[in-house]
Amino acid sequence: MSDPSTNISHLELGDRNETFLDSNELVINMGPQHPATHGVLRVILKLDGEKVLGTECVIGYLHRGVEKIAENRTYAMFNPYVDRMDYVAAVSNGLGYCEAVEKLLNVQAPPRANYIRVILTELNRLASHMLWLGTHALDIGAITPLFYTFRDREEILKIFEKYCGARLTTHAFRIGGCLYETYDGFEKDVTNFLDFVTPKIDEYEELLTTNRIWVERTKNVGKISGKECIALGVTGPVLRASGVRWDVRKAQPYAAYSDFDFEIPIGQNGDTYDRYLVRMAEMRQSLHIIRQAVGKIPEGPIMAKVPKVIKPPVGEIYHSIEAPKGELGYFIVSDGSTQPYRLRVRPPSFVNLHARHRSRRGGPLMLDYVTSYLRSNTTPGQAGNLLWAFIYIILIFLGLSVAVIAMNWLERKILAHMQVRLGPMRVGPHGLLQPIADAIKLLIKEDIMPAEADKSVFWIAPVLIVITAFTTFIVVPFGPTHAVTDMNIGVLFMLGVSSLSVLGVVMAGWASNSHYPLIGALRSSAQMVSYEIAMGLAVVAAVLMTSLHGNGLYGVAHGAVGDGTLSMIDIVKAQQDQHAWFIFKFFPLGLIAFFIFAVAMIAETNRAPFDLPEAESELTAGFHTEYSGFRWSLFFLAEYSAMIAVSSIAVTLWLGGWLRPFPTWLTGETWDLVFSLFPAATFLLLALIALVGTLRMPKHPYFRVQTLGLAGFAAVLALIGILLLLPPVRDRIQDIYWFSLKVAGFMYLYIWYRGTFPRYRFDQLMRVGWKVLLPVGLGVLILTAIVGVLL
Amino acid sequence: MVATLKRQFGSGISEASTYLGQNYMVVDRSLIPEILQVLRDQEQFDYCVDITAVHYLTREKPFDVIWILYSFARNERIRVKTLISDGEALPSSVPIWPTTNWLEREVYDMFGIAFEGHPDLKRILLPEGWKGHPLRKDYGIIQQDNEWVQANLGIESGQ
Amino acid sequence: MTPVATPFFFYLLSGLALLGGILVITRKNAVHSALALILTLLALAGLYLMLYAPFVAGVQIILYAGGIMVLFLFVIMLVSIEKSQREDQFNKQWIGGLVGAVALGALFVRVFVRSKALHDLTGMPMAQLPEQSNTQEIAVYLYGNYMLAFEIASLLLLVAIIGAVVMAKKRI
Repeated sequence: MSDPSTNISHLELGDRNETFLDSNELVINMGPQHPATHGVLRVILKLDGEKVLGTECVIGYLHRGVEKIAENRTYAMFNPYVDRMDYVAAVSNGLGYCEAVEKLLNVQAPPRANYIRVILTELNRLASHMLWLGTHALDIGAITPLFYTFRDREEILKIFEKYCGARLTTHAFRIGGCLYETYDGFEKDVTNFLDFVTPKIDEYEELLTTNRIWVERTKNVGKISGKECIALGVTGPVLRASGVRWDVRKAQPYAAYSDFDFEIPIGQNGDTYDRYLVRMAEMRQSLHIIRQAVGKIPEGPIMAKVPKVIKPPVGEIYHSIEAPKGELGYFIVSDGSTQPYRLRVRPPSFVNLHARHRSRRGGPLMLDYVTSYLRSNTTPGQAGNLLWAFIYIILIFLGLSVAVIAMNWLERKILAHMQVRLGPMRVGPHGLLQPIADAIKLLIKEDIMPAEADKSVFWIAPVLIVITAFTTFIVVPFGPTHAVTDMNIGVLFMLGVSSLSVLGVVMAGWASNSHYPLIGALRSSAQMVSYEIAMGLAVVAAVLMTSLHGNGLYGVAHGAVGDGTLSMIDIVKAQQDQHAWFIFKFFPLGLIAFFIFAVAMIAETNRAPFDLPEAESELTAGFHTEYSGFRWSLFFLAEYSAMIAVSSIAVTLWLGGWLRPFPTWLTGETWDLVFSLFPAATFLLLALIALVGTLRMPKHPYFRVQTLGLAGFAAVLALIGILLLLPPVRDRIQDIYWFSLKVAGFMYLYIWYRGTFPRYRFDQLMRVGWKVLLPVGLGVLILTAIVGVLL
Repeated sequence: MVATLKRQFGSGISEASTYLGQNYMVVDRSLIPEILQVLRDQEQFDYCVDITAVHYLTREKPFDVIWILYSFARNERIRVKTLISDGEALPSSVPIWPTTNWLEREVYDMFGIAFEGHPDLKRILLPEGWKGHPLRKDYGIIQQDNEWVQANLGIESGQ
Repeated sequence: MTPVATPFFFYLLSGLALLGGILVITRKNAVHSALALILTLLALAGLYLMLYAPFVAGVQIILYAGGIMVLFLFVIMLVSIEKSQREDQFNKQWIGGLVGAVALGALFVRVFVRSKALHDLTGMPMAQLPEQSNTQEIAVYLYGNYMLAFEIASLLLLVAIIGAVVMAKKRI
């Protein structure tokens, strides 16, 4: 790391010859190119494992020499420049500058202008806080609030655009007042916006404030006391969250703020959670202020009498306002000419950043061949029937590929709809051909391998992961005879082979020869290994239930020496014999065991909220950062397959596999018939949805091909539905259908979790795995055994 | 307050008045850092808002260094200004207000005014090897350190 | 019960195991050696399957290949390996090594020949127990006859875990 632009010699690099038992510190660069630094910051971190030992901030990437420019522009000419300094809160910047120059000129803006200024500045504060919330949540892993806040921020930007023609860098005010009169309908727009956004802010709070993961990620993180804040010159919401009730709007009122009645929210602990709460409260206070202001904008001129050529008398002035980020100050030295002699901007973020960099976060920051021919019981594999086994293998292979492709489309669409947007719509009708386009793109993309990467290991890693992911499907039972084979250690086999994927992840991260993939790989493997334990315990609890013969939820035949089994098909058969899905058996034990497995399997597959190994906003892409094109797609192929595989385990062990719902409560020919119509009904419903989609397509010649395509798709679905109505097909497809339906439910849950939860920090993740799931799993196992023996 | 300070420091405070409602003091260079310490400890100016400098090319002592301080308890701001000559260094106020760490680095970067006792005085906005201090009046508006640009960016000039 | 194509799979799997073993000792890069060891272990798991011991095969994959080898890889990756990569592959004592290997091989051959004379190895029936009960049989013996040994072993493991946590915790 010998670049001339920074001197890091004072950050000692650990001796490279130490073994890992001595502390081996990692110096890692969170460069200006990083998803979480938002392009303007470089942080050099000294890490010990996951702990941050020291940081050094390198700034200046967005320094544009504004103060020097100010010395070469007239006062009015400089006005647009200030917007660009903090472009998220441009209106506030303009307000501070105009007021500073007005002070120098000893001119007062008229009351009407002040009211307009207040309204626009508070709207800008709202917009800035919304942007903060969206990006902050995104960096922590909650990907949904971003869309909500940006959607609502649009309304504010629309108002700005209507008022002054620009959305972001508004240049709304002039020296002496405002240039533009409020447009017709301004008050109505603002009032409508206030009514629109108030429940939306409640919506954001609902998503995050009481969310356990959010609280754990932000509480007690980045604590800074009030005294420290003052000493470090920190202002704004950070200062207020540390308990100091100070706001420039109240301490040294400017514009029309003294006319309004509003509170200053403060926090107690000064941690990130309090800063979040303070900003949310500030948003509500802004709404309050705007509501008061918009009702009583006084009549009158909007511009004070300011000379055409602005030449303030010789003197100096300092004026500051409460920008959304903190105290924004302007220090202007005038030498009597038309251009400022010196203009100094006191930036709130500069000082706040220094403070953040100093309170170094001692906590963790940053922060995965061969299907040999085997024999067993009643499946094609057993009868020595090689041909059928191969056919099943091919069918599963194809089915899995289709499922992965469908998952790709479904994930993007479902996640999009949760985030109030549409998702892919262009490639094919409603984006249906998007996965194919993705596949083609990935196949023909340039294959990049880092120069220093270990070539053979780099090549093998994704292949290994895909092989293990696909191999687990040998024993997945889609029906009593619908599996490639039924090994009598089926569950053990699945767990074992999926544990091999850890090797692939580690290999991938190591072979990339780069810091971020290595950290991602180590995190991922530690995570997967830890949660395998919890998974194993839950599985053992379920397997235990197979040996407790007896009907019903609590039924255990007295003195039954069960013949428990590890075979997937036999587990489902045991549920069938015992007339109870294991999720309901020994209620609530089965449910708890299922729950443990459900949580552990999400961690196993590196999905949100346990997706820290792939955490985009922290590690760029984790262990597969250096992979591009087809190799990368192999990773995700394997991830989706693994998701389906573990869901299959969950379905087999607890949800009755291929059994239809209520096999014992709703028995009889009619019920059997009703349930057997479900597959056809599903496809016909899908066909109906596709038909409705076709009818709603725009009637424009450009869309003809898409409309036809969608109609064709609807026709195919309808055809399949009708095919499924035929009795022979109907009976055969039952088991496969119910199994697939349950697995599909799990897939939906996966996507839902991704859209809703922030991600766990790594130490919290490990804590959940070891300190929560493991003991509970043990407890459930012991209790199941006791109940089984006692009953 | 000015009276107490005048009693303490006497002739060091050359000017203390108000302009457009804002208080300011011009003090002698020799009084820094004692007067700043007194302002923080006795007069409760616990928040250093900003440190900046102004360059007057043709003056005998070309640099004005200005501290802008605020007191939470008194809800008052005050500016303390001192005049120094080119090459003269000032004692650092980092021991008094930790916030001045980066603020002094920026003054050093832009003006070339050194602060003695600063824990880590190096350029903050411009890259390490840059020559020249841009906010001085003798540094052109489009001037750049072409040597650094050529050595590090591999292009002829940044213009 | 005779599986199809046994000789083919036997030679394939043992060939892979041998290949893995040779790669382990000949690779300069420690990570490559670890990966070759994984290949050997997986081949062994396949051989266990052929011997109608699916439980042992499953446990071999889960514990050995999926657990212990991951541990090996962690250590190798965190320890700086540049030094080892610069070292010579074979040192000066290869003559002594060769002599030792030949002697050991001669011993194996002698033992094999003599025991073959005592028991006819080729005529031995394979696995008398049906494969279905491999897991059950192990469980019956492990938790029945050998319960004490099992408990002692688990106690040992517990002590090891606690020791590891204590040692590592000091550094956190």
